[in-house]
Amino acid sequence: MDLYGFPAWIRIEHWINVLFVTLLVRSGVEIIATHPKLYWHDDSRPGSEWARFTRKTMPRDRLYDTLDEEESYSPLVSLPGRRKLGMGRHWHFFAAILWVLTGAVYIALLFATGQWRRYVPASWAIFPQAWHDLVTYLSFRLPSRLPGEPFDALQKLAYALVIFVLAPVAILTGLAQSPAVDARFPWYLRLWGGRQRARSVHFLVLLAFLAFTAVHLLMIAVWGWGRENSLMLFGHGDAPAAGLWVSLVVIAAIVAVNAAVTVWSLRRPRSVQRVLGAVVTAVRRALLRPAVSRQRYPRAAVSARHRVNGRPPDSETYKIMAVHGFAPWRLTVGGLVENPLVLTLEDLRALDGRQSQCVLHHCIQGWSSVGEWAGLPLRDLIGLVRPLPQARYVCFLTMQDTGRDEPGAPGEGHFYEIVDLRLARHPQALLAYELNGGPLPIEHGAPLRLRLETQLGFKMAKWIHDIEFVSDYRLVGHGMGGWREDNVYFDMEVEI
Amino acid sequence: MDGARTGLSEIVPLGDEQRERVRARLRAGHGACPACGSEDLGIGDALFLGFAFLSEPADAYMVGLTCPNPSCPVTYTGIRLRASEFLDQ
Repeated sequence: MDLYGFPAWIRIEHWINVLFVTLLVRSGVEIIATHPKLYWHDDSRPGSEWARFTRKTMPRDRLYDTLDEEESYSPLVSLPGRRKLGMGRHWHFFAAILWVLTGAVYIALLFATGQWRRYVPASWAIFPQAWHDLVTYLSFRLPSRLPGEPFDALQKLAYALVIFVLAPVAILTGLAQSPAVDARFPWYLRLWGGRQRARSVHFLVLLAFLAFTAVHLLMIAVWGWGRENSLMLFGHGDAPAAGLWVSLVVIAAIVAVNAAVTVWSLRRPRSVQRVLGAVVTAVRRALLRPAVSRQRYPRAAVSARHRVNGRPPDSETYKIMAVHGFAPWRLTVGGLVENPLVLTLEDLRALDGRQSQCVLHHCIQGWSSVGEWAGLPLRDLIGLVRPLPQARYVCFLTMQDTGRDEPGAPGEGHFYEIVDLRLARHPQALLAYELNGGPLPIEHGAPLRLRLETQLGFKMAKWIHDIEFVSDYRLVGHGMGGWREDNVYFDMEVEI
Repeated sequence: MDGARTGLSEIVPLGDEQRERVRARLRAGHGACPACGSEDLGIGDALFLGFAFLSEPADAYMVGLTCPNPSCPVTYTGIRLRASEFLDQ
C-alpha cells in the first residue's frame, strides 16, 4: 500500500517544475555559450580550462577580447540561441526566481504534510538496499518498492539527492557567481573555492540534473508510462491510457511555451528586456543592491594576465595621445554640477586620496581575473564637482566607437555606461589609472576606466574622456542605461 | 609627459640611432608639424600598434612627435612607421 499518495500540490508542483527547469537549462546554455570554457582557478587563464565547448582558437600575436570567444548555439538547445546573452540572462534569472519560489513552497508543504518521509531515508539500511536495486536494474529486472512507499530504495535516494542536494547547490553556486555577493561576503566565495569553481560546480549540477532527467524518463517508461503519468496527473494509477495522452499534451504545452518565449526573445528583445527586467530588477534591488564591496585580495592573488574585454579606440587621435603618455588627453566633468572641471592625467594623479584595491573582476560572460587597481575614488570627484540637487545619475562617455572598434558586436556609436549616484559613492567605486602597480594598459582602458566592484565588468567603462551628471538615464542613447543595455539588452543594474 | 615615463608596456623607448632613422624618414617625407609647419619636431618614443589595434598591420608603430613652437595649437602629433623603417633588425 502506498502510504503517501500523490496529493494535488505535488502533481502541480511537479509539472511547474518541469517547465521552469527547461527554461533554466536552455537559458543556462545560452549563458555558457558566451564563454564556453570552464576553469578551476579564478584567473581564467587561457589554456587552463578543464572543459571547453568551442572549437575556436584565439590568436597569440594579436589582441583578442572575450567577445571573440563567444559561440552562437542553436535555439533548440539554448534560450533564445544565436548569441543573445542579454536574453539568456533575463530568462535564467526570471525562471530562477519562480523556480526558487516554487521550491520553497514545495519544501514547506513536504514538511507540513509529512510527505518528506517519501524522500528522506529513515535508515542507513537504504544504502545496501539501493545497491541491490541498482544491480537488479542492471540485470534488466525491476526491484521491489519499499514497503508502503511509492519508490524503490534507489529511486528514493535519487529523489532525495535532487531535492535536498542538487537544487540547493545549484542555487548556492549561482549566487556565488554574483559580484555583489562575492564583494560583500568574500568568505562565501572562498567557501566554494572561488568564482570559477562555483561556476564549474554549477555546470556539473546541470549535468547531474540532465542525467537524472534521462534516467527518470527511462524509469517511467520501464515502470509503465501510462500508469506512472496517471499517478502524477490524476493522483492514481487507474487510468494509464488517459495518463499517456494527457502527459503528451502537457509535454507539448511545455515545448510550446519554450518555443513561444524563444520566438518572443528573438523577435522582440526590447519587450522581453522591459517585462522580465522589471521582475528581476525588483528582486535584485531588494536582495543585492544594498551590498557594498569589502574585497581585499592579497597581492599574491593577482592574475598573471588579467583577461580583456573590448578593443581600444582605433583612432589616430587616441594613438597619438597614447604615444605621448596621454599628455594631450583631457577629462571633462560636467552636466548638472556646480563646478565643472577639465582635468589632465597629471591633475588626476596629483589629487589627494589615491586609493588602491585588489579585487576580483566578474565578467558577465563568466570569466574572472584578479587585479590591483588604483586611482581616484569616484566620491572624491563627486565632492569636487558638487552635483546639483536634480542630478541622479553619472554617465561615463568613452573614446571607443563600437561600430569601428568592435565590428563583431551589434550596434554602433560611442560606448557609454550610466550608474546612479548612490552606486557612484560606494567606497570602492574608483576612477582607475593604474593596474598592478603600473600605468593602466591600453587594453584595460588607458588612461582612465571605472571600477564598480559590486557590478559586472561591462558597467566599468574604459577609455573614459567625459563624465556627465544627468537627471534621467532615459534621455541618453536608447534610454536603457548604457550602450550594452541599449544594444544587447543587458540589465542596467548588474549585481548578478 | 613622454611615453617612457608613463611606463606603458606598449611603449618602446627609442635610442639615438633609431631617432635618427625617424628623422631621416621625416625629412624624406617632408615631415613637418601639420598645424604650424615647424620642421624641428621633437622625436619621442614609439607605440607598438600591431597588437592592440584592429586596423593596424602586425609590425606597425606610432612614433611620438612634439612641436617645439610654443604658439602651435597642436603640440602632439605622430608618424606611423613599420618596424623595419626605424627599429634595429
